[in-house]
Amino acid sequence: MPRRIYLALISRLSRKQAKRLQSIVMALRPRARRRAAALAALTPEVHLMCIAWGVDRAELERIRDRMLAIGGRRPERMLVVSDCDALFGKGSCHFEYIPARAEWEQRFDPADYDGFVARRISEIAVSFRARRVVALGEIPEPLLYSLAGKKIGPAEEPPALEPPPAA
Amino acid sequence: MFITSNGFGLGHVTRCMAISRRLPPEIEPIIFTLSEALPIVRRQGFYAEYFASRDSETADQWNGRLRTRLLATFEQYDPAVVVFDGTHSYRGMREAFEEDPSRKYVWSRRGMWRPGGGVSNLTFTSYFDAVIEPGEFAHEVDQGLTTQHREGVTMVEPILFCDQEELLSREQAEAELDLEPGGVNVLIQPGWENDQYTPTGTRFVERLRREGDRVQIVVAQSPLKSRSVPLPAGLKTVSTYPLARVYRAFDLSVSGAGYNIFHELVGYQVPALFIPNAGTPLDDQVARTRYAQEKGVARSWEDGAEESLEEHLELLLDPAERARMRDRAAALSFGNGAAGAAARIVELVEQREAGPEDA
Repeated sequence: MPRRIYLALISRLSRKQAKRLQSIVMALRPRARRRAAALAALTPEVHLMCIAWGVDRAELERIRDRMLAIGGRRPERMLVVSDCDALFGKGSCHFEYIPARAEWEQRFDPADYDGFVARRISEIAVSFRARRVVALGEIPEPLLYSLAGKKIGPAEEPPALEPPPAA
Repeated sequence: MFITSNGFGLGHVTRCMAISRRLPPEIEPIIFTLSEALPIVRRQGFYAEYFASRDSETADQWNGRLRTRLLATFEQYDPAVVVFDGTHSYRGMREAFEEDPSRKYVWSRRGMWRPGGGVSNLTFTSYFDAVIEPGEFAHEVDQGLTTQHREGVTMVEPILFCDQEELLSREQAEAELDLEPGGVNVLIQPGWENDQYTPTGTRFVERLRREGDRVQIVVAQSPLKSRSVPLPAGLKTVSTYPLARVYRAFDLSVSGAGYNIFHELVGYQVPALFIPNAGTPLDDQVARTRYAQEKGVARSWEDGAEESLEEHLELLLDPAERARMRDRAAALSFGNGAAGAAARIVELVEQREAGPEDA
């Protein structure tokens, strides 16, 4: 159905009818087109994801500049994740903000924060298909374990570090 | 949870914060913003999540990530009601709404669209359970499509961040801005979304400087980092948020005519010369400011001509004319719709908590 007719039709229907029509149209989209759309929806790989934790605005901007220097003309291949809200603006590398511990603890269970951050970082890494991850700044220990692939529940204590073997 | 689109200025986030701060304490608002105003939102004490506007990605890629991120955010915070403030609902957002039908979805959709504009925007109304329409001073001359689509719409008064009693007194505001008492104080804010900010602002500064020392000029600079613009030397600037707090320091304003700035100036009875931006995709600023002039609460400078500018400024620099404008604005005053919008959201939260059979 030509898009113009579809839009004109849908604007004349009640909400319920419009919703039904939209789902019919979605279901009728050819499979090849749906597959092409799914492929196009894949975010290009990010070559380097940098987790900059507990840093201030000036430090975060320094990290961004170094990332851009490494990334050369491809800032879109660089990603910075931080709990600092100094946003980068257009034309810079990708930026993801995660609410800081203090803000979380004012509203939610403090024990859940590390789990929340670990989940968010893992979601971010997947959605940007990050090839390499580096962590800078004051990374909480549970988050380090999570980055190393060890699963830790929200209330669970991180495993104790083993003492070095006796000489 | 409030989702705010990016926009050019602070309009969307300001409306969401205005409503949020009037919610009862047992409802915790989360502001999910695409705007670089994130630090401002946080400084106002709100819990905020951020998702960057589309830059280097394709629309498909960006919408795909938005959908995934929203679904994860819904799962994390389990919001009862999700309010979107913006004119165009993003595809990724609509897909997330469809995939998670357990919440109430609300569109905060202001009116005053340009006639005939926004047909495709309205086709997505069906994704929302309710529409909240922030009121419009010039609604009598609203010719836009939203006037014909009223199903599920709750209309409230114009939404403002501050209530009248939150504004500083003239003395306090003058002291905060370091202005000499007794002068004619002019606030210049041609609109941060306007590419003409610097040339227009500069033109007004030069013209008003000819009035001598009695006129004290303050130029509003956007608190958004990327919107800072160069201005003539030696000017007093203000970049506070919310700027309305210090409005009582001013005898008049030369101003852009976006929804927020317009309703703040008219609502707080500050005589203004509005410069409508005729190039916005949807917002009918020309009709809005023309109406304000017809009603005698402000002047509208549409043609950009030197002669008409002189005529407008002559009127606005006349204390008797300003007093008349203030009186007319007071006579036509409106309440703050933020509380009404918050009340509607509370109703929807209660409906969702009560479950589908009671809704």
